[in-house]
Amino acid sequence: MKKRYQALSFWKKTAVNLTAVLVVYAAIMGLSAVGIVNKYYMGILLSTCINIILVVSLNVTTGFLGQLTLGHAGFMAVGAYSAAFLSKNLSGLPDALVFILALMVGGIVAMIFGVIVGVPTLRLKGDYLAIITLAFGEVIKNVLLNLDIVGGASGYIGIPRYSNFSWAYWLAVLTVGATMALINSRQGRAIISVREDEIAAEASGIDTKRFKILAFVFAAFFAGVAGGLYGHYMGILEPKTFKFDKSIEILVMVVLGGMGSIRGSVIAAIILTVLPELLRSVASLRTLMYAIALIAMMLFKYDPNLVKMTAKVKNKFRKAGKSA
Amino acid sequence: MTILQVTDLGINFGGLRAVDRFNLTIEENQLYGLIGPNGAGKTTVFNMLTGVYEPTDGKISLEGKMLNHKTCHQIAQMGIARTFQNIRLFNDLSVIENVKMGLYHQYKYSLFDALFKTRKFFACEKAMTDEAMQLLEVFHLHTYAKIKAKNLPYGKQRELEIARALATHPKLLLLDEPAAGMNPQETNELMETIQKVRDQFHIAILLIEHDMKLVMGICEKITVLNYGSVLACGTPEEIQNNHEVVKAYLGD
Amino acid sequence: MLQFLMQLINGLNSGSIYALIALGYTMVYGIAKLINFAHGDIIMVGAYVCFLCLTTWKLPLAAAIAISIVACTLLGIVIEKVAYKPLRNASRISLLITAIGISYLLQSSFQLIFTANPKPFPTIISLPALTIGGISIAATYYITFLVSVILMVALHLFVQKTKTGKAMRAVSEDAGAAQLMGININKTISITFGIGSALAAVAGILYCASYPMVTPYIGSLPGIKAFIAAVLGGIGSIPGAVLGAFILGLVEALTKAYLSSRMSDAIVFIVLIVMLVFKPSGILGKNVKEKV
Repeated sequence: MKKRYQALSFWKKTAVNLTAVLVVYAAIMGLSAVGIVNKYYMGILLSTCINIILVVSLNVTTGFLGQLTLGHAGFMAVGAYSAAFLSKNLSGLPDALVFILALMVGGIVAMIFGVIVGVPTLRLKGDYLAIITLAFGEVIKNVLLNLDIVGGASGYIGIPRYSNFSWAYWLAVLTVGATMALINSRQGRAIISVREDEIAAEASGIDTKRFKILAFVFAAFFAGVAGGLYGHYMGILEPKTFKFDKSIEILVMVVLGGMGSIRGSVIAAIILTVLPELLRSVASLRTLMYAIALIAMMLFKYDPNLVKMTAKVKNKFRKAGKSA
Repeated sequence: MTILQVTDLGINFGGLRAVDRFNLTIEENQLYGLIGPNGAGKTTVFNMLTGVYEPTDGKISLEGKMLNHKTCHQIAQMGIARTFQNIRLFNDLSVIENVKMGLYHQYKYSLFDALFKTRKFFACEKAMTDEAMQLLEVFHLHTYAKIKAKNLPYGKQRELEIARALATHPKLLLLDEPAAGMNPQETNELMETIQKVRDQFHIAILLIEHDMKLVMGICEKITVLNYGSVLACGTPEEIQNNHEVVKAYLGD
Repeated sequence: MLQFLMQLINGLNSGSIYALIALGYTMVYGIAKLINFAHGDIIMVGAYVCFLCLTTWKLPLAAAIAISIVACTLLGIVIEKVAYKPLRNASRISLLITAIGISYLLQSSFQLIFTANPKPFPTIISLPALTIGGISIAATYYITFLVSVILMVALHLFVQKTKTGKAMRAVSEDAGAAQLMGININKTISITFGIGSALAAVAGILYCASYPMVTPYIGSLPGIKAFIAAVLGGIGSIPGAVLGAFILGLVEALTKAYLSSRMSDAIVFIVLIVMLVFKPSGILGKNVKEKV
């Protein structure tokens, strides 16, 4: 069946994808209407959608551009705060319009920061680039802590709670669609070529600087939108939400989903948002188990000895399955 | 018509004068060889011609246009393409995607076209795919189109690099040790390929090589580089009979 | 003027602690090209072990310090063997994430054992304050400074003069060549982690001598700052780590006093950004160009 799908033309594939997406949406909304999925679970689903947007957008800089960026939470923060600022100060327009404008403003302000962060990174590589993005993320958080006009350390309160599952779901779909569209284009290939071999890309006529900025700006925009969604869901924003830990949380989802894999990002975002919620009962053990799981997953994925061992075990199961 | 004019090119690395008073003139459609012992500065010359290094002095002009302070990608767009001593392919991209990278500037559509999948997007992508396949066919690589570049055998990787360079529609193609690691039969095939490329695409080719059979076999003119300076310049016969060159590099 | 000198002393105090931590970061990065995010949390472990020795087991100070150092050294070596060594040939990102995992592991396990409530750290330095020219320097300050300087000098001599130290430098330069010369890479890397962790233990104890509250998270912020210090001075360079740490300590103290105490963290990070834009290899670092 996979082969039949892949043989379809672009528009037919898109139709199939859209139908699947609609069916899932209808199913969830249906379950919610009859009360099987209650408000608590809808909240988890909403958070999942926000995380999907964050993870897929981070994958653009980390997976496709190949640069480890540790400040993604900073883009989310500026998006969240600017969106909230707009919706709190804009009056006289219908709610939906205010929300859309707020999200757009959040995305655009985040984009501007994408340029601000992106430009200094143009001459840096690898670890240094990671460090400078980390530093930017922290500066943003610290500045927000001291910006009393948006509440400072006590938080920005009274944000109208416009977010709901529907908004989050369709924005997540939009993010995934836009990212796929970018990657399957000459611009997307150019971004990937920078990851593969920057010198060869330049020698082929690619202005690598332009594409690095493009990747940053694209990723930042959607992170900003995710921030806007988040702020209008919580009703309150605190700078401490957006510290380094948040950037790492998203990065872990990208890595576990597979760098450069949009589908993997979506799956990882779902699993790593839902799982901690299910483990809420053992909250004190939660971080510990998360840490152990993280280390274990890293080792099983990249330790050559463990990889060999797992392959052997898998083979044994395969043989046992065949002989049974 | 002169394609490339290099005048008194030189570069210092710290206190070391790596290349000194390098002169070179390449005519349209010419097959030119750059030879010399290891460390003579041949790849450094390539790097200066392609904008990877900024020369300390001297002038480079392509069809009359100055290249001196242009960036690497600008020079590539102006018409100089190259391959690398240690093959630099986009390993995780497929063979055809590698070639499509070279075609980036030939089929332009905007980000808007890409995101909203306009008609222009599909038309350009189709044309890109068609031309990429044509280029691959020249090197008999079209059957490998969807395979990841890193999975190609070594010889085919070298050819893919050349195909990608050609995709940029260059006026001058620089090949850095294209025959490295090849056996005599592969080298023969490469000689034919290079000449075919020159004839079919009407470009000038400058190559660095250590394989003398290849150099003397296909190059129309040769410059010998030793310790960063030009030792000799002339036809293959003249070079082979040049006493200094024989002493420094070719051996008796 | 007096205020200024006081701030200088404050800066030297935090600088000394940052230096001890930064040395661990820089040595490990030099030898394994790894940013050991878990390093900051070793400080926390060192502090807690000392705390345990002093309060629960009522051991004398010297024993407590010794046990703490030994415990952290072993911990550092074990972490390297279990989590970093298997991934030595994996990508940088995987190592980074694993290091982050270890950091969370340490923080959460200590939170389970000790709870997140701050525990008061017993006073370990009860020497009189030193008075120079009208300024009273508390004992914690000059002891911290002295201990740090002694350890830094000892480390410097060790790295320069001993065989193991030379091996460490060789492996940082070129691991392959070092191996061909007969140097045992695994042992050298383990020793590096061990030394770094031992220094971190001392840093943790000194930190709690000055700020006598232990929580599972005390390693986090000093860890990041020490890391910034190491980058500032040139990551991979031992004198660089020390220089960066003192500069950072002074900048931080002076910013808190004269500009804004709320913005001091932001300013420290901005200094880092400026450094990375203009000289990423740090003050004492080397620029390595990629060969085409």
